[in-house]
Amino acid sequence: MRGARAWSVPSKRRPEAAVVRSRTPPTLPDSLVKVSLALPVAIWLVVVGCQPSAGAAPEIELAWSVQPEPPRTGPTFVALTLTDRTTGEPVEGAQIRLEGTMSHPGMKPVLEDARQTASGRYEASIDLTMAGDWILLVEATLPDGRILQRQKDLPGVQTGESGI
Amino acid sequence: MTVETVSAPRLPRSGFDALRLPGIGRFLRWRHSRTAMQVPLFVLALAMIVHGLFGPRLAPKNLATVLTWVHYRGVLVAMLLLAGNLLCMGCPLMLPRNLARRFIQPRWHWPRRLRSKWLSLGLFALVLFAYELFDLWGSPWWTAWLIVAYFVAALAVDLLFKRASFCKWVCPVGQFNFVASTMSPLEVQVRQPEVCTTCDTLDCIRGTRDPEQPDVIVQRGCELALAQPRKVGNMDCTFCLDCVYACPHDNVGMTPRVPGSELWTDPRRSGVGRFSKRRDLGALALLFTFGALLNTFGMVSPVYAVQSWLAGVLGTQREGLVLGVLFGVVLVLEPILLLGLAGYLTRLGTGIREPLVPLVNRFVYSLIPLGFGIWLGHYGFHLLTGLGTFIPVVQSALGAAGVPWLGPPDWTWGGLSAQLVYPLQIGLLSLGLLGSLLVAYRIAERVTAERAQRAFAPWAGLLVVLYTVALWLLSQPMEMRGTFLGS
Repeated sequence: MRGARAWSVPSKRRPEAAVVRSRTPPTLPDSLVKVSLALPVAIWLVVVGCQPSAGAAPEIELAWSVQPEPPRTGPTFVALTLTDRTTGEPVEGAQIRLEGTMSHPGMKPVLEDARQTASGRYEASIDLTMAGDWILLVEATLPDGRILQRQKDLPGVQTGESGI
Repeated sequence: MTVETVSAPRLPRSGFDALRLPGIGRFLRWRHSRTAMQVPLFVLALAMIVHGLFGPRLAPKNLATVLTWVHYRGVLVAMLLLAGNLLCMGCPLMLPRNLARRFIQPRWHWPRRLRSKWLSLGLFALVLFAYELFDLWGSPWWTAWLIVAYFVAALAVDLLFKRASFCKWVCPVGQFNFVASTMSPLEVQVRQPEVCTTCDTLDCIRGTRDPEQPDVIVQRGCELALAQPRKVGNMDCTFCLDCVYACPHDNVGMTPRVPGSELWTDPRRSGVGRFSKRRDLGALALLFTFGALLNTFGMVSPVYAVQSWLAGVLGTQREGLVLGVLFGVVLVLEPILLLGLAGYLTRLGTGIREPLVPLVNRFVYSLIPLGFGIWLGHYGFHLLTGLGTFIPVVQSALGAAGVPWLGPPDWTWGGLSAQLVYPLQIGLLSLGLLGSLLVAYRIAERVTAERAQRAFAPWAGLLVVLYTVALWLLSQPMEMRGTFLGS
C-alpha cells in the first residue's frame, strides 16, 4: 500500500550544530495523574454504594390494561387496579403518576397523574407521541407512605390515531 | 531539505490563526492543554461506564446511553463542521494510554501488512452492525461495555505498538473523524512554507531531542507520521498539536481553509500518500456515505417493512442474518452497482481509457460532503431534539449517589421540536449535496479538462439520487424499536 510508506519515520541523525530548545520532559502534571487515578475509585464507590432499592410493597398487586390494544400513537387509555394480596382488598387513596418513555434516549417522557375512579381503580390518558417501543412506568404513593414502582412494556406502538 | 510544492488550496492569508486567538489560543498553545481536556472527558466516560453498568436499565434514564447516543455524536459532528477534529484532540482514550506509557514502552512497530484503513474500516462497519443488532441505543449495559472496549483496545494496541497506532490504523471513531474533518474549516498547517525550506531537523515529525542526549525525545513529534511541510489536509490528523509544540520555529498554526478542498486535489500527502492510489481510503469514503444512509434508514419505519420482507424471503427470524444481508446490500452491492455504473458512463461519455476501479477511486471522494450532510442531519436531529434530556439524568444520577446538589430530576427537560429541526436538517443535507457536486466537478476537470462536463454528469446523477434517498429518509417519522420483527 503505497500511501503508508510514509509511516516510517525518517531515521536521519540530528546534526550536532542544530539548535534545540531546552524543554522539560513531556510528563503529565502530578496533580492530574492523582486526580485521574482517584476519581474512578470514588465514582465507583459512590454510585455502587448508593443504588436505590427496587420498588417496595411487594404484597401490592398492580393490574394493567391499555386501550387500544395493540396500542397506537395518540391518546391511550390506561386503567390500573391496586389490590392488597394479603387481604384481597382494593387499595384506595393512592397517588399515582404514570410516565411514558421510549426505549431510546433523547426524548422527553410523557407524564400523567392517574385519578381514582372506583375502589382501587385508577385511570389516565397518556399521549404516545411516536411509533416504536414504549415503556410505561408507574409510581404509586400508597396511603401509608410507601412507594410502589412498576414497569410495563408496550412494544411496537404503531402510527395512527387511536380514536380515544 | 527540498520541499515539494503541493497544490493544497488554501484561503488567502487572512491572518486568522486559532492558536493566536486571545484566551483560547493561549490555552491551546499550552503543552498540557490536551491533557486538561482529556481529564474531564475521562471522568465523564468513567461516570458513563459506572452508570451504564450499575445505574437504571432504561436508556432514557442512563448517562451512558443519553450522553453517548444523543449528545456525544451530535457534538462530534458539530465540532467537525464548525472547527475541526477537536474531539480526537481531547479524546479520553489517550489519557490512560499516556499514563501507562510512562511505565511501559511499546516495543513493536505496527505490522506493515496492516498499515492501511482496511482493519479500521471493518471495525467501523462492525460498530454500525452491532448498533443495530444489539440495539445499543437502548442498552446502557452494552453501551458501557462498548466504551470499556474502546479503552481496553486503545490501551492494548498502544502499549504493544509504537506511535499512535490505535488512532491511525484501528479506531473506528477516529476514521469517521478523519473523513469528516476533510469538511472542516480549520487545519493544522504550516504558517510560512518558506520557513520549512531551511529546517533540517523536522522536529514536527521526529520530535524535539534533548540537546544533551540526542536519543532522548523531550517533545514528541507527530505520532501519525504527518510531516508538516508535506502535510495536506486533515486526513489522519488528530489535532493533537504535538507538531505545534515541537516546531522550534513556531511555524505551525491552526488556520482556515476551504472545507472539502482537499478532496479534489491529489498531491502526495505526508503519511497518507495520494488519495487516488489509496483504495482503502476510497472504501472508507464509501462506507462513510452509505453507512450514513444505512444508519439513518435504521431509524425510520420502512426499515421494519424491509426487514420483515427479507425475513420472509430468507425464511428466517434470525435478526443477525437479516441484518447481515441488509448491510451487504447497502454497504457492498449497492455501492458497487451505483459507482460502477457512474464510472462506466464516465468512460463511455468521455472516451477515457483508464480502468474502471482507479477511475471510480478518483471520484469516490466526492461522496464525502453529502455523506457528512447526512450524518449532520441525523445526529443533529438527536442532539437538538434531545438537547436538555441529559439534565434530569444527571440530577437523577447525583441524587442516587447521595449528592442531590442539582435537586430532584425534572423530566420535563426536552429539546427543540422535530418540526423546527427539520429545515435545518434539509439545509445541511442540501449543503452537502452542493459540496459534493463541486468536488465532483473539480475532480472531473482534473480527470479530463476537455470533457469535464461529460465526466461530471454521471456523478452528478448519482449524487442527486443519493440526496433524494437521504431526503426521503429524513422526511420519514422517526420510529425506534428494540424488538426486531416484534409486534
